[in-house]
Amino acid sequence: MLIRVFVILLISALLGIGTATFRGLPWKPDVNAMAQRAALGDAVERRQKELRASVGVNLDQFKALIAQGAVVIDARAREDYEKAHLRTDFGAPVLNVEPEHIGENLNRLNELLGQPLVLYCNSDTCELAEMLYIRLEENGFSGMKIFFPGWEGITAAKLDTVAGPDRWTGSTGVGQPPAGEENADPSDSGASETQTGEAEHE
Amino acid sequence: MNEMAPPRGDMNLIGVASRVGVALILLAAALGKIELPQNFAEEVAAYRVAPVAWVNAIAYLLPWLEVVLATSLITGVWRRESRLIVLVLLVGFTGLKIYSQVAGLHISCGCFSGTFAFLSKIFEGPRGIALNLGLLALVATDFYSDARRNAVASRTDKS
Repeated sequence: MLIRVFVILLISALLGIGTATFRGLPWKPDVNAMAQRAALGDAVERRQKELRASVGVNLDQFKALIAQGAVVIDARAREDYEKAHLRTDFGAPVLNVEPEHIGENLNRLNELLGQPLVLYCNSDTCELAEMLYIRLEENGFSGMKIFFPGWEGITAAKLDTVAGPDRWTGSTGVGQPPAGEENADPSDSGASETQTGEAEHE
Repeated sequence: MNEMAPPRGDMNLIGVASRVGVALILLAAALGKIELPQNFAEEVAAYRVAPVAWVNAIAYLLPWLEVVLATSLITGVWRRESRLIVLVLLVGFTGLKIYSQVAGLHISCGCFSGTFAFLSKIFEGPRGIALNLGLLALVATDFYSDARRNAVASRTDKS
C-alpha cells in the first residue's frame, strides 16, 4: 500500500514538474516580493476595519465615480488582468498595478496625483486592493476608494470587461472620453484589444 | 448480517456517489489552480504556514495530486490508497481553515481559482469548514461501504 501511495505522489510530482517546466514557471518564488506582501498583509490586518468602514464603495458609487472620471486601478495579478478586466464606458484607462510592483509604476502613477482613484482586486476576501491603497498612501496619494466586491462584483453586475495587457503610459484618457471612444461597442469583436489601445491614442 | 444495515447494493451506490462527489470537487479545485498557479501560490503564502520558498512548488504539485486522486477515485484504480491520501489532505485543509478562522486571517481559502473561482466563496469561513467536514464524511462513507462490501465478499467466499 505504501508503495502505491508513493507512486501516486510521484506521478503527481512529475505532472506538476512537467507543467511548470513546459509553461516556464519559476520554481523559486520572488521572495522579496512575497516578504513585501507579507509585511503589507500585516499592515492591512492592522487597518482592515478602518479601511473597510471608510473607503469602501458599493456598485452604484463605483459606477458613479467612474462616470465622474475616476481612474480605476486593478490590483490583481498581471495574468488575471490580462485575461479580463473592467472596461469603462468611455474607454478611460483601467490600470494594472500589483501592490509590490508599485515602484515600477510610479512614473505613470504620479501623473494621476490629485485624480480620484478607485481600486479593486479579486473579491471581498482579496487584500491586494487594500495593500495597494496603503502603498499609494505611502507615495503621497490620498482620497482613494476601494470597490471591495472586486472582480467578482464586476462580473456579477455584468459590467463591461475586456482582455489584454495594460499599456497605458500617460494621462491620455483620464477623466474624459478619448476621441472616437464615446460610442465604443463592448460587444465589438475588436473590444479585447481596444481597452489597451489607450497607449495607442497618445 | 445486521438487519438494520442498508442492503449491499444500496451501500455500493452510496459509496460510488460519495467518491464521485469528492472526485468532482477535487477536479474542480485542481483545474483552476493549474490554470492560474501564481494565484494559488499567493493564496498558499497568505496562510503563512509554509516556508515562502516552498509555495511555488506546492502550487504546482498539489493541483496535479488532486487530479490524480480524482481520476483514481473515479476509475477505481488504487482507490484505497487514493482515498487515504484524500483523507489526509482533507484533514489538513480543514485544519488550515480552522486555523485561519481562529487566527482571524481575512484571506481567500485557496480552494478554487480560475474558471471555478466562484466556488471559493462557498468554501470560505465556517461554512467552508462545515463543507470540508461533509467531504470527510463522504470519504468515510466510501471507506465504510468498501469495508462492508469486502466483509460480505469474504463471508461469501468462506461459505
